[in-house]
Amino acid sequence: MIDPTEMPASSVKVSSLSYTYPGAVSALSGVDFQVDAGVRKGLIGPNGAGKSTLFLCLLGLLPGFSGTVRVGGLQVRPEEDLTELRRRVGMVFQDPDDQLFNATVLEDAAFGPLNLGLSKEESLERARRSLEMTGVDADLFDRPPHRLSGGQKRRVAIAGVLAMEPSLILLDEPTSDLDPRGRRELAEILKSLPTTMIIASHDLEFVLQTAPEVIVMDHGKTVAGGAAKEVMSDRKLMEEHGLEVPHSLTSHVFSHHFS
Amino acid sequence: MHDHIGLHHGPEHEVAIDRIDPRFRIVSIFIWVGTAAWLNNFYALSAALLCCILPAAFSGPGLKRVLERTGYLTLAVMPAWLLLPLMGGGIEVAAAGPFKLHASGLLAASLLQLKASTILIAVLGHQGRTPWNRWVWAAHKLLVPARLLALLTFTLRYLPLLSEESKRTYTAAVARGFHARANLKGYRGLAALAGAGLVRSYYRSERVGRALSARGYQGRFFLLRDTRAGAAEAFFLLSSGGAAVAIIVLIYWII
Amino acid sequence: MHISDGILAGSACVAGYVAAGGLVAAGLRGASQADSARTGILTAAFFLAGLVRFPLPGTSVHLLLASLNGIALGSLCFPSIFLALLLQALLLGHGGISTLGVNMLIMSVPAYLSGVIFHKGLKRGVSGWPFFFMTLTGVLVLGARLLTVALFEAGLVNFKLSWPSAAVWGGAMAGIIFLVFRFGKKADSVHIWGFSAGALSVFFSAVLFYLVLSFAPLAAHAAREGFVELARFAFVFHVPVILVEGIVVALLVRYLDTVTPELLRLQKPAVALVVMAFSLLLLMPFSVKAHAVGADAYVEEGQIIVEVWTDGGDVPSSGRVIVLGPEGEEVARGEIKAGKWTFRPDSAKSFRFIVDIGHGHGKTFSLHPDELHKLNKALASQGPAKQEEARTSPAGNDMASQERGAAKHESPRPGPSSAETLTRALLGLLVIGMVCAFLMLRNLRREVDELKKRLDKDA
Repeated sequence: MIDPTEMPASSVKVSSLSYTYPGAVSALSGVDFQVDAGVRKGLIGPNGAGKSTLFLCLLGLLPGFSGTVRVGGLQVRPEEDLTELRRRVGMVFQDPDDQLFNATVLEDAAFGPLNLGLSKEESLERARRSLEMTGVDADLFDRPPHRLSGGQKRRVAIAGVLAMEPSLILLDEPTSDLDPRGRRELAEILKSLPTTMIIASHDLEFVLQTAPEVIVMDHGKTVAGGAAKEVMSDRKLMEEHGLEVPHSLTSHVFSHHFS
Repeated sequence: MHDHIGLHHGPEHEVAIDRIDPRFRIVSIFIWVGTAAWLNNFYALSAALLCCILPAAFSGPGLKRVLERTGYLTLAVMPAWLLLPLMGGGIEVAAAGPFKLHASGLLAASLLQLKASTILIAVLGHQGRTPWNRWVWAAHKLLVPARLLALLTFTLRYLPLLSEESKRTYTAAVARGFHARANLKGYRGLAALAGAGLVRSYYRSERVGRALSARGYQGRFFLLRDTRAGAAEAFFLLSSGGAAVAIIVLIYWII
Repeated sequence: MHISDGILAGSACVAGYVAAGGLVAAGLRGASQADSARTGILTAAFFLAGLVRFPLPGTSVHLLLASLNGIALGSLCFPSIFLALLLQALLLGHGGISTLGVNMLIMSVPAYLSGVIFHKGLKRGVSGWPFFFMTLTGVLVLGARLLTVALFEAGLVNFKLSWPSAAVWGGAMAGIIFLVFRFGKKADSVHIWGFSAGALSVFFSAVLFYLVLSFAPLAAHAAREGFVELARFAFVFHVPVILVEGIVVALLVRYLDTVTPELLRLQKPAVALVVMAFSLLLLMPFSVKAHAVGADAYVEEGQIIVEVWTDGGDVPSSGRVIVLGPEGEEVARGEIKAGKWTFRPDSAKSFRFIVDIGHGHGKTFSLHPDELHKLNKALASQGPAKQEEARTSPAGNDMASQERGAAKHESPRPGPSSAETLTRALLGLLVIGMVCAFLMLRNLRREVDELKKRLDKDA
């Protein structure tokens, strides 16, 4: 059900999304938001706000949600064949070990394209390109994933998703294993890509660096949204929802260091 | 740790026998294990053992490793060495107090050791340092059901990770004064550690399942490196199978 | 309890693989793709859990934890245990590669059954105590009987506990342990069923191990008695493992039930699979029975004729007979022709015959006392000289050696020997030991309660 006139291929529109886990735990209640094509949107909120659940719904991995989810005009229906959705949406999971399950780095990066039906040569080509883009050294290509450092695993995971050339990338806590240099480099990589992105993170400085817009979630609902700098400088809003104003946005006078 | 026990991951340290397509090696292993299991004759088994040592010489599992594994094997067979000569019946070879050693029992125990050693060398010799995913792919091509191989893949991929995680948890527990004792308190602690490991694995398996789905996994296996079945493979299989057949035929003709 | 390579004959290995393959295929049938990842990772976890050493006084044991596999995975435990054993054999060298199929049957069928029992028991809400008691009794009765038989056959003692006395001893020990747990510890139904499942699984595995070594074709038939003896000792040494595994599975299952109950209810066991499992299991001894060897020796005019036949009614084409005297020394041997072999003894002794027709099939038996009597008479009529020779032979008086030979396999002689007294005294001490254990465990219980109180305060 692709309607190219209605929305550009890489935008996201979620309306009244609600989902309850089988244990009768309500995770999402009426989430509404939109991400325009090519925009990087931050997704912030306290633990348990429903960020991961939202991502799983966007991937079509949680059947039985109510409301509509559209990715570039394609409506997500988990019961139907999801191959087309897989082409468009890729997710970088919180723990890279959960998604690096092939025997070597190169094989893992090529895994996605191979599953999409591409030829071996083309999959390898894409894999090499995406690994280069994420700054993975060529002599790591034949190494097994469990012998990589946290940062290297993170890069390989991202490369694996990039190799599928999705129109939307979801990132769940992408900086959790990275040292400051790694974070800087990741921010550069993300900013260099034209893909639409939703970045869920507790690392508020990182979100500020990479995403011009943010959405704030709490208790399964979207409670605020808009330009990143504006939303995240609102101290009352941030603290009300279990967050805080990122350091670079606090006014730099003595008082804030001693309060 | 895992390279040491034979779980190879990357194609980094290849040896000569790795160049032979693993499909042919699997067939060869079958031939030799089957032959060793079927034969009960000392001369035939010795010949088979010598034939299996040949690939071992080319693939270098290392004398140390072979001796180690043979040591484990002997330990496992030790109860047989102790009991069979005592119970065998037949000609007495030696006597010590109330215990008498019988020839037939000694022969039976040595037959056992010979057969087990032949099978061990057959497997070690063909193993080389091929990474496990090539073996899985070879098994797939040899018509082993894909679902079973999918299970095996995940087991092998996550074994090192789970082992590291459990070591970390154990260290953390020891740092808090835990000491494994032979009483209910000690058992509860160990059970909690094992249980925590199982729970973590379960949650990880759920997440991996989702990641698989998200990357469009359909259950197919792929191998990126080219494997060609060429002259080397044909020669290998023919010489391997030929030697086994020769041994069997000789034995049945002579005996 | 793994049978290593080289023990079983080729035919048994093949039969084992066929049966194992069937079970693995049946287990994989309902599996979806999500199951592959989950089961694979859990298999790795179970593999590692099986490497944990639980300390025992003076030593430590690796537990099998196959029952946990059966409880958590249901029919998927068949491929899971198969792969775990494959990895153990290839990576660690435990168990055998040719005997992988047989080992897999020994481990997985009891694991699956104990999983079924665990779930059905918990679901019905039946009290687990009767089952707990029955399991304990079964284990201890069999353990007591096999311990004495093993020592007897090894020539270390001169008596065997008959089944009724084994029942009494075993039942008494089981009763004491049962009372300790019933009234000394706080345990809920998850604990009790968990213990029963864990203990039962190892118990059945040990019994299967014993049965396989007793009935399946062996590579060297002469080793049969030795392996049966080994199986007896293995069972006896596994009794503490059975108890420890029961306790550990009980604790583990309780932990999992508290933290992640979904883990215990992943797979619904299929009853049809139980039937299939049983029938596959029965395949093994039946395939051996089809080749069971019959043999007997009878006396005719002062010579002993050994006759050999197979169950199908035919006569084995080749084979040999070894004749042993009462002290186990070899007296004669020969080749069977057309199912018969004749042997002319120069004295009447209680001979034993070992018949071997190859591929591990054969039979061992003694000369029947009636036939021996006939032989005596025949030799006596043949010449008093021969009989004199027999009477004064260094092996001792005929009748006495006949009695000793017979006594080795029949009821105990009147009057206890010193070894016998010692063993009985040890068993008596065991009972006293159990009473002391009961008293000590009461102190332990107080310790555990204090620990729990402290933990509750922290939480």
